[in-house]
Amino acid sequence: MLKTLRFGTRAFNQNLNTITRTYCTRYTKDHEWVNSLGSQNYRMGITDFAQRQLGDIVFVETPSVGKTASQDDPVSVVESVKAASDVFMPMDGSFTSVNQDLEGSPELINEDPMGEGWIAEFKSSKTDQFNSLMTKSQYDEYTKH
Amino acid sequence: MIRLLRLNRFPILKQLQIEEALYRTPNAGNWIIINNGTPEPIVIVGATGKADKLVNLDEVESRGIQTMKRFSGGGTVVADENTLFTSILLEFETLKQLFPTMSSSTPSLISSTSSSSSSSSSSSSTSINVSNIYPKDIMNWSANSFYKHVFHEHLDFTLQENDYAFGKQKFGGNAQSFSKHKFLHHTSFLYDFKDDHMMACLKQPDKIPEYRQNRDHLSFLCKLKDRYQSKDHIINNLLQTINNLPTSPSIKEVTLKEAEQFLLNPHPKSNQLFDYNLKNWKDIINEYNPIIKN
Repeated sequence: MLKTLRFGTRAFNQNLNTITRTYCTRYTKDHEWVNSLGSQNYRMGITDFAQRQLGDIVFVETPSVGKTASQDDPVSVVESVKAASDVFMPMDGSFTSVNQDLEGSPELINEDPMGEGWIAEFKSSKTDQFNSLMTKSQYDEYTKH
Repeated sequence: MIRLLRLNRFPILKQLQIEEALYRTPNAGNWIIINNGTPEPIVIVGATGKADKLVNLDEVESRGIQTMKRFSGGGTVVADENTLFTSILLEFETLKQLFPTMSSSTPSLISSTSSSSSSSSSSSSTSINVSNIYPKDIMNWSANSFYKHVFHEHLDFTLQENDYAFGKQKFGGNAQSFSKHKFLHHTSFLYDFKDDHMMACLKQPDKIPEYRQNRDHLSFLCKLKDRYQSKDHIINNLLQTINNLPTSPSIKEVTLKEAEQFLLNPHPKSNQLFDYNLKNWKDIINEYNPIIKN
């Protein structure tokens, strides 16, 4: 019975993560994703679609903690085998942390772009900007064309 | 309009500083830059900049050769007066106007692409949506729609993964930078090179293209001088290709001074020089980026 309980809990948590991601994640036209962490905190990265287009990621230049940026400012550079591509700020805000693991393991972006391959976290009061970004279904439609 | 800047034996370090300024300045316009060689040999690594992994630093230092890191992605090259540099900096909107339907693959030209490429699987020309343009699309476009015409005399011209080659021998290496509204695609063409510099200065990189098949530098590379009697011939082909671009955009030849104006705009500066004493990268301090005393 304990095994059943544990299995049920794990499945519940996985479903909860999926639901959370579905409702709290938005997408930009430049293929960034933004996850609301609550209390005006957000986490960002590039989407699975973007990492597939770029190919093997070999280096990530993360933003500086404390840096303030406006929506659409280039804030990070992701380098694949032949191209250095800008990553853009999805909303006005200031950076509170960056993913240190990317320094030694940039391939995390290829392996788990929506999870362990996150790039940075920031604080923003611009809920309206978040809400105006694409939902998952809108982004899926966008990337079809 | 596309601005054309022609340089002759202009230091590539300064050229890259200008290109970074053009790339980072909003509304800088469209540019094509051709530079016939750089006066002194120099090792150029891509933005990743792991100098110790890519370059035999002690050897390079003993030969009095500088090592720089450029702001764009891509591999490592030893450049000198026999390297021909071309850079294409275009706004995506301009690319759309010039080539409203771009083919994502042309089987006769593309020999192989990396496994991560999703567009290489089509067996015939496929129009792609130019509102979503990615590095591999520009790489394919550059070969199919531009450099195929520059090297039209040679039917074995091909794009091997990310390199321009005759058959399986590379003669041109590419690097790109992508931003919201524009891209930069620049190429080092090996008209000639000192065999000794290549072998001694560069290490075999960790990640190599499949088609290289573990060949050393001299077996993998070829020289344009074995196919063209002069660099001028290639430059003339380049100019002809530019003048024959579809929809005939206006091409305005500009002076170095006009390009240098963009250096005055505040912009991030990522090009760096390697300090052999400190064993680290340092900012470039020169007339383009002087130390400002407060």
